Amino acid sequence: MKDGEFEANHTQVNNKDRDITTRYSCHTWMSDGPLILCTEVGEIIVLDDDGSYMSFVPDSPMNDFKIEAIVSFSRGFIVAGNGLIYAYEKSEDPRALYRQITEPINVQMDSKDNNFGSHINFLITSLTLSHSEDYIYFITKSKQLLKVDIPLYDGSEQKSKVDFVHCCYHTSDITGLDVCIRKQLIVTCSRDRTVKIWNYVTKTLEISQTVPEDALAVAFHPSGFHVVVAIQDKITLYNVLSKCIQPFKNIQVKGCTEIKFSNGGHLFAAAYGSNATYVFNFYTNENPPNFQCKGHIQKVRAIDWFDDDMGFVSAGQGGDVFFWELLNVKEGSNRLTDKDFT
Amino acid sequence: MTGVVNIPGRQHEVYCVGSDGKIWNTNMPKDPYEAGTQISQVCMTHNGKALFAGTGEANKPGSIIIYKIAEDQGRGTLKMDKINEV
Repeated sequence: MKDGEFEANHTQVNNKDRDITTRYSCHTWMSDGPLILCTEVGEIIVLDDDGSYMSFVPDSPMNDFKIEAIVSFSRGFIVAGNGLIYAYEKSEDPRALYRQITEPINVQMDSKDNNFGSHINFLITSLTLSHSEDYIYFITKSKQLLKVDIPLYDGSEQKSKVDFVHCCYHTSDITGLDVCIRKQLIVTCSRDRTVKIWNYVTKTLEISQTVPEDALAVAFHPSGFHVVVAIQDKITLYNVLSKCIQPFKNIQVKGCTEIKFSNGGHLFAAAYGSNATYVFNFYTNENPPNFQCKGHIQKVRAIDWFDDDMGFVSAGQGGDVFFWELLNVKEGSNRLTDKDFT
Repeated sequence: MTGVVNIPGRQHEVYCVGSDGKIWNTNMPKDPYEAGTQISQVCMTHNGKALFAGTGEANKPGSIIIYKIAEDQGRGTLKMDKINEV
């Protein structure tokens, strides 16, 4: 610091004894002074506390392994990148100031055993150690928080176990959400091609199921025994089992973006096409002509059933709100035109 | 419009929201509530005393605004007051 301003001691690493890239990716200070510097091609170098080059770490990951994050601990440091974690400790050997403690931990492979995490990108973007230095907590590019009990002592036979700190959250936009009337459950769907069922009392993830394409809308049957999920080219009806959801019926429609069950669960309304809402009988999947509600200028964005299930209200992207009666069809139209709101 | 919800106990009366930053009651088309931010989704408690609104501004984090709904005794219409935002 000079005259109240920071002044650079070094603008580059000098006196290197080998060709090391300048594409630095992360660094950390050790408690006893040295600075550890990592590169995008998997090199680790040790600098003195004044920034001058000390040595290269021979056990560096190399092979273009981009080191994304580094953290120091009492005996050394830990680096991480695409699905792998490397731990190093100080050594007495003057040619290698730090040596690798264990084989790299493959968090990707371990986590794939867990059904909830099979679709995650395991590129580690940040990590930290617990106070007792027995757990590493890390964040992946898919925005998931996980932990691993890494063996930081030589000769440890213990296999590392990777686990979510809370649970596996959605990794992309959530496109649909519905609350079950009879059970304390919520269903969500996302563009990450998963449908998840959450218990909002225990605050746990009960079921996570992969669907073939991006999920666009979802609705929970009031009983809690079924969910309806819309993907690009169909609506699929699922039974909710204890550990998974199982499809039992498909309805071939394209681009459905909103689904809503009636309060009794015998009907559900699905908005698809350019301007229409179609009401289906849940048990027979019938869609009679008086259950086809057309009239909006643009796409239907929201649906809400009346308390008595005699009809519903729909709101369109064009700024119009229409009320529909399903049973009392007057003059060939089931729309309550006197109630229109535009 | 991006969100609509029936008002419990009031037949064919709904709150709806869209990209204009207002909350519309379909029975009061000339008197929308100025939310001051874009609301994307709305829902109500079963007793009709609170309205939950999810904000949906592009490139901004979302929040949930809670409004207290009460009947205006003199006019028979509903009035809303913002009581919390989380």
